[in-house]
Amino acid sequence: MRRGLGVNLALAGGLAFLAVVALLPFWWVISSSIKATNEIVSTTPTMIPHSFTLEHFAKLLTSSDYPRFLINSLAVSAASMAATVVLAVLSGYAFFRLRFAGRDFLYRAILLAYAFPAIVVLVPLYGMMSAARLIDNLFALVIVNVTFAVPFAIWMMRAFLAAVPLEIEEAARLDGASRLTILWRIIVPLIAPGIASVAIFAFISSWTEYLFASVLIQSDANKTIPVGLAGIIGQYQVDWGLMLAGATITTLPVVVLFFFIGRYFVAGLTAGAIK
Amino acid sequence: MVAISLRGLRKRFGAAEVIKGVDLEFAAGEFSVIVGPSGCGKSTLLRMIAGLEEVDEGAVLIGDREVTDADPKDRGVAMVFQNYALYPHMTVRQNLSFALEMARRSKAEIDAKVNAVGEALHIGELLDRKPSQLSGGQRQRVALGRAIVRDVGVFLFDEPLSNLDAALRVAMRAELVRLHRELRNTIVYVTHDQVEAMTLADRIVVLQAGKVMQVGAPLQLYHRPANLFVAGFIGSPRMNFIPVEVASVRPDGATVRSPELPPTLAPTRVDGLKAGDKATLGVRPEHLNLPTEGSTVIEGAVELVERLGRETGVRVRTSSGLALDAIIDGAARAVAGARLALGFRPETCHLFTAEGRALERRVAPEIADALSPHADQA
Repeated sequence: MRRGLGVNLALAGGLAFLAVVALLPFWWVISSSIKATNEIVSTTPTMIPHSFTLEHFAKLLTSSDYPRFLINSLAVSAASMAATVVLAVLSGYAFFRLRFAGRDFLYRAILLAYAFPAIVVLVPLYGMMSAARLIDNLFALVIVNVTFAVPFAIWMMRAFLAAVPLEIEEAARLDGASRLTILWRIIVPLIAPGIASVAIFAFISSWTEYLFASVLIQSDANKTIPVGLAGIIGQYQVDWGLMLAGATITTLPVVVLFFFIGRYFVAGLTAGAIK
Repeated sequence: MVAISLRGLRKRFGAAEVIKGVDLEFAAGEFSVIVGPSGCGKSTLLRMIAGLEEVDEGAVLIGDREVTDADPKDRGVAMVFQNYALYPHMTVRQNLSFALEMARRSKAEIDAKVNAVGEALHIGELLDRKPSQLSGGQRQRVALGRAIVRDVGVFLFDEPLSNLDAALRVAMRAELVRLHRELRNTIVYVTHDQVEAMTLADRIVVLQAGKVMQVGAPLQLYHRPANLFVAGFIGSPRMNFIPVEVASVRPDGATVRSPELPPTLAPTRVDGLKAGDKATLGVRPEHLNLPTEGSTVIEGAVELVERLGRETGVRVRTSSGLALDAIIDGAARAVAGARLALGFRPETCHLFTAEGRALERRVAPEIADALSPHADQA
């Protein structure tokens, strides 16, 4: 259906407005992170920086605990991502291909993980981690992140598994491959886009997690970036330059991840929508 | 060469029984085709032989070994699937090598086998390509190669040609016959296409609703179908069926009549048949032509004319509403809407009881008893 010029202009204008609304905060953070402090706090905001300095980055990386936060976040997110991927692939394959008692019920039951807001389970989860002596331990964050990421990851994985014809697995069985060999040599290469989608989802969920990190982690040495950056907000003053530099660096791993495998994430969200 | 025995096989999906007590023997080195309409259970039966479906009752023996509960990889069978089932992320070489890697063969042995099979199937120059870079016919050859490279005694084919165009199907049929002659494996081939069954098989198994309707050589099924279903399924176009009543019974046959037909002697055995019984007279379209001396004449209005050059297909509707298909001479005049008289020689007809059972024909071509269409090529 051909649209008129007026409609096209209106659509373009609307999309441009939404793009500005979405991208403006990012531009503001990145451009402000290289401004001098007096320009950052100026009552007249500047879209294009009038000054240029890297002092905030230098101070962040040399005089603050940010490098420690960064390493902690990278470790927790990488471990959560890896564990989520492994569990989602194995569980997804089991739910989709294997027949066992209670399979359908269990598949629906795992989504109960999202029935309660995270804050409702915060106190009992704290109790469990305390009993397991995992308070102030990064491993506790990995457990929590994986717990909340795996159900959705299994749901995502199922769509990709459904696209693998059963006959391919049957051919592999006739060729003498065991279940694990089929999973590793045949299924995993074919669902690589799904694995990438799950990996991105799990990484981003862990990278941005604040609530449990703020409660389960108590020492500065074990803080992750979201909690660490929040600490820059003092009772009486905020070092805006430091915070903006921290926020800028924080986006980098996610941008890099998306650069390499982001297209699979989009495919993963819509896989199975149309047969 | 390995024989296959199926004894009392039953299979249920939920409450529905799809294989209902099948007993079959496939002789070693034989090319057997299981044919039947969609949903008759032929693929399920093949998968039970392969071990891809569990058997609810009965036994599967391959060679002298019972393999009913054995893993597919331990049965000594290779399978070619309808959609080829090639590993899309692997090259042709890797597809062919996979089974040999699983069997822990040496690299040298694998390379030698893969190259030999590649040459035999004319896919040697395709070994480094992926399946997505191949045509349908090439993929089919790779699927075939994947079975051959395993060096097993039994090949199972699940409608392997159904995704190919007509010309390629004919070419691949010839290829399969050539391979069978060379390798002499036991082949069980499933198809819904009765032309494929007739041209490929040493023996045909006709399956319907999970039951075996008839087993025999292609021409046996064509000339001596055991029941209405087999008579209607084998042969294209489909056999014409005329509801008749038995007028009288003689030692040399039964005289039947109907509103469309004059009294006609069907030269069959008359076991248990008596005057007044309902029956069905069957006449193949290729045996219905323009009337000649001695032929039984039947008349109707021409509904459809399909001119194929060498022959002409016509559909005629009698006054009682019965539709009859005929293949008449290509030069014959037939005009839609006009009346046309057709004739058949009584010795070409078949007679079936009210229950659908065929009465044995007293007159049938000698070739009806030939075991294989390839017997003269052996």
